[in-house]
Amino acid sequence: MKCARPILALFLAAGVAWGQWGGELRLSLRSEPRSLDPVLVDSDSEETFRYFTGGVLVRVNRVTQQLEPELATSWNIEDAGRKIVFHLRKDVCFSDGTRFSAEDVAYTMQVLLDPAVHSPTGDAFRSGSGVAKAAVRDPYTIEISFPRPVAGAARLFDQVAILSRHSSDRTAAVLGPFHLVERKPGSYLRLARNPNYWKTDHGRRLPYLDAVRLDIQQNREIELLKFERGDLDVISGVEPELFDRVSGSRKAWTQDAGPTLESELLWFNQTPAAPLPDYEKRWFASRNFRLAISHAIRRDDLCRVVYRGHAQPGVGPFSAANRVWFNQALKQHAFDLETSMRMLAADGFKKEGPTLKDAGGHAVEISVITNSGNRSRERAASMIQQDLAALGIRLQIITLDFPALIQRITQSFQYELCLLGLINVDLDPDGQMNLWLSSSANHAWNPNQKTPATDWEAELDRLMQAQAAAIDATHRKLLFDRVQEIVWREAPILYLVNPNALVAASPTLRNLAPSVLRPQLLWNIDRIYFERGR
Amino acid sequence: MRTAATIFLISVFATALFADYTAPYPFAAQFRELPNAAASGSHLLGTDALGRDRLSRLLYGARLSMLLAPAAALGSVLLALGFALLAAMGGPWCERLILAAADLFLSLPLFFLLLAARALLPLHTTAETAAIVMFGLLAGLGWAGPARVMVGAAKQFSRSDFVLFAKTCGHGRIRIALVHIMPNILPVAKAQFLIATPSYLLAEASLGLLGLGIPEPVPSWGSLLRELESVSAITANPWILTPALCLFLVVAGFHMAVSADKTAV
Amino acid sequence: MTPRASRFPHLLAVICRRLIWFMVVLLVGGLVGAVLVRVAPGFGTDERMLDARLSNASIQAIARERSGGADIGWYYVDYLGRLLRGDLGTSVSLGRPVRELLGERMGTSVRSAGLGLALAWTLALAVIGLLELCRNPAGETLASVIVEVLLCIPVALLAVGCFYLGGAPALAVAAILFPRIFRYGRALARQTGAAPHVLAAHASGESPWRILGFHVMLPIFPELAALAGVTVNMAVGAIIPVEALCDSPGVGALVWQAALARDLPVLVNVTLLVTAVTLASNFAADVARNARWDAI
Repeated sequence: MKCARPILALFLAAGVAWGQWGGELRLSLRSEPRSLDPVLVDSDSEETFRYFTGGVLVRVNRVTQQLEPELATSWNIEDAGRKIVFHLRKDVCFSDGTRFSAEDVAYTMQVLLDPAVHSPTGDAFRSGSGVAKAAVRDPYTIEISFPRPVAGAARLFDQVAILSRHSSDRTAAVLGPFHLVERKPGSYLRLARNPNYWKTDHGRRLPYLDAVRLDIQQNREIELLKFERGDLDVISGVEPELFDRVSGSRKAWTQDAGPTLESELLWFNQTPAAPLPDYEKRWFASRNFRLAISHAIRRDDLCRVVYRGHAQPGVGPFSAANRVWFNQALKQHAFDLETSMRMLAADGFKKEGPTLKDAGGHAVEISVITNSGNRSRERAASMIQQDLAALGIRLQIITLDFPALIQRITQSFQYELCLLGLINVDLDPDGQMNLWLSSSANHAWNPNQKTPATDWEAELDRLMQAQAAAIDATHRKLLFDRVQEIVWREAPILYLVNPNALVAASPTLRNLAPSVLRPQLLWNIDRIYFERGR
Repeated sequence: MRTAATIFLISVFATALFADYTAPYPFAAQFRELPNAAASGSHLLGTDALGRDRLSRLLYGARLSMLLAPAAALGSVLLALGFALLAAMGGPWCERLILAAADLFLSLPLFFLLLAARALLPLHTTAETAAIVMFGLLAGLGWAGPARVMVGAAKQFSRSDFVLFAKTCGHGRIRIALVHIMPNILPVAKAQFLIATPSYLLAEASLGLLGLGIPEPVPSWGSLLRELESVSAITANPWILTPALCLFLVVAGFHMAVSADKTAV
Repeated sequence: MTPRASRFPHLLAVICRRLIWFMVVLLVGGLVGAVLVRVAPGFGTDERMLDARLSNASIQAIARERSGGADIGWYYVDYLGRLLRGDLGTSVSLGRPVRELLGERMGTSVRSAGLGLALAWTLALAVIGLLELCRNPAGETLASVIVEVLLCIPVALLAVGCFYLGGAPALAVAAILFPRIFRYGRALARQTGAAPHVLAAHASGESPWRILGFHVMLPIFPELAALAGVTVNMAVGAIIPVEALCDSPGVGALVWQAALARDLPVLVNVTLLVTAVTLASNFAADVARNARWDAI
């Protein structure tokens, strides 16, 4: 577990010398953070703010995908995976000058696990059989106990920004490279170098940059305009259309870092309480029907046309970007209309003229809901519409604003197919636990089941619980490979594409090492610098 | 100028109405090997991001926009006319109520009604039906502006000598409103109709830009104008300006007709 | 008792009646606005409910938190009670007091709308005056074409275009308002310019500036004042999409964000505010148009 690989070695290996000090980095947040409290982080913008300001015990290196020590110099797993003990770095201070110790970690865990707080980060530490507990062994050793063995426990701490027990304002005392100095609601956040940041370079405290300005900018077009004018230095998650546009410019350094962990997916409503005709429910409950749809979709076209080649066909819960957990044995459901028709015929469907009809003579007319305003998704829906027309299926596209869409998929269940994106923030399969457990509210196609509706969902439940408790990494991998195989075989969710991580930056920035994991370009923010100070 | 504008508008209507014959391709046909193609012999205005022929989509889009926008404008103006006559018949309190309702309609977040209508439509509603519902709602919600103008006009005429004379002759309120006031405010209603029609064309375009337009793959001028969001794309592919140019010509045509009409009034 | 003195109590009564009416309409507006938000699909939901990391208990807690105001009648009564104490409630999407949110952003919006209005009026009056002085057909045509083009551009496109050209939201507001002010103002000026008293003034050799000021612009002042009231209303309507599209940190952007999050407390307050501005500006427009107190 102690895979301590110093970050500095990575840069030295890449031939990077020490950087130049100073300058302000300007980038944009796509939404206004609801809260700057690191415990309540939920959106991408809040995540970015926490990443820049929060100090963590361990960090997942976004390039190597391995755990690296940060505020904890080392850690041990004890009691057959029920306990994790962190040995903390000494002589570290918060940005307000107070000393960091195990008491702060214990306090952080206490806040995080408070059931009244409903922290997404804290919820990851809960299991059906109880919650984790923190105990201080000595000022620089802390022990976290779990009610049952937790395989990926150390990774969870990548998301846990340590709070100061002395400070009531959780943004005032931080351990990350920057701290908040100014906030203009709706406009920007300004971060300044943390004078007490513990990392150094040649005896001088990092980060290289003096400040970071986070502009709140939702409009992608305007974001790019600002970048082209030099008002922004970095853009992560550039849309393919805009990426192609900026790639030709000499004023920008751009890179397609490859497929991300994000997926565009399509699922069928299999909720028994859904206000749909019984014959439609039978269609969606049929594996043959779901697979027939999957084989009729030209994923390659989606990648080439909608994403302009900056995406890979989707296969399963994880993309190939997840080096550890992706099941290499699985291939995408290949476009094959003959296979589709054969599967449909096996369920009694037949084509009458241009229309596909089921055994009861009902024309196959279905609808797909998706969120309005997402151009790529709307285009993907149009392409799927044309693909399914080849089978004789008439697909209606319904675009809804997000709250209306959430109401349909979580409360009224008035939908047939849903096209949406899934953002994986965690490399570990435990991060998808609530998606696969049949009892979960986030079990997309049939949530909140009292008992699993099908044998394969019962098997998914069993496998997910088993992998979460398996300490042996190889055994865990085997269990999750099996989960991926079941999802691939039963196709409750059709994985369409994994968009690539597209980034653009000012050519004067150095030490950039784009990653497919968030924050794609700025994961090593403490070591990024401008070639010439600004 | 008015005749030229009218002839132009009629020809646009005709081309749109017969889009099945005038468009070179079906509006939804995707030429996936040619996404974002430049203007060429086979695609006179190029293709969009999914390889669909822009000219065909422009012509089909005109059918929807040019038929539904005037219909919605007519609906709004008829509603406004009804309220104006009611205000003229009903006295000061009735007028005050109608004006207050108009003020409320001008200030309430009626955008939620559009969202609600979109969300309440049955699952298998076609894009055309969704478009009709959207324009129907625009008609129902857009009466307030014209009503404020027409109530004023109706009030003016209700104080006129000929109405006073009709009252002394013992004519009833309904007869006065329908026979004496309505013919006099019809020119105002006509002008309001001509003003409202292009406004609805633009409203549909704005809703399209905000993701509340007509669902894919049915084209409308609003959905075609969404391509202009990318300003640099305009310099690279100037032909994507064609829908905006067409909209300008049509709206200018309507405004010319309004100007001429106002002069006549 | 002089006629002027006898008229004062009547005027006072009229103003009081009008104020009561104003309050009633305002309260009804707030209630209808709240009902609209409540019945809109998606009320009580939150994007966080799709976060796969959250436990069922947390998702239920979020749903409970977001369904505040489900009984809209009680919510509104409670809201009015708090409003009297100066408490505007707390935004459910941003988790901050609405009073603070509006206070932080009001300045930006008022500045954008005010600058936009000033720019549009200055430009429109300048062009109208210039055209009236020069009476040049080519100038008239050019102005008409520019106005037509501006009228043909959707608001959203205009907002992005103004940003592209380096303009602030005020420029987009001005671009939206200018053609409307110009069209109406020019028609009035043209009509008045052809009136017999203006022709007589020309014949008597008065200076063109004097004719423009005293014989053309002054007589149409009540109509322009009425239009000013209406344009305030239009500016309020325009600022919402403009700020939302330009990401300007004003009330317009807040409203858009609140609408997409079904943020009832923010939307009820803003509805009341917009209704008040609409009523006041339309009232002012009516008074200016009629230019006499008995009109009210």
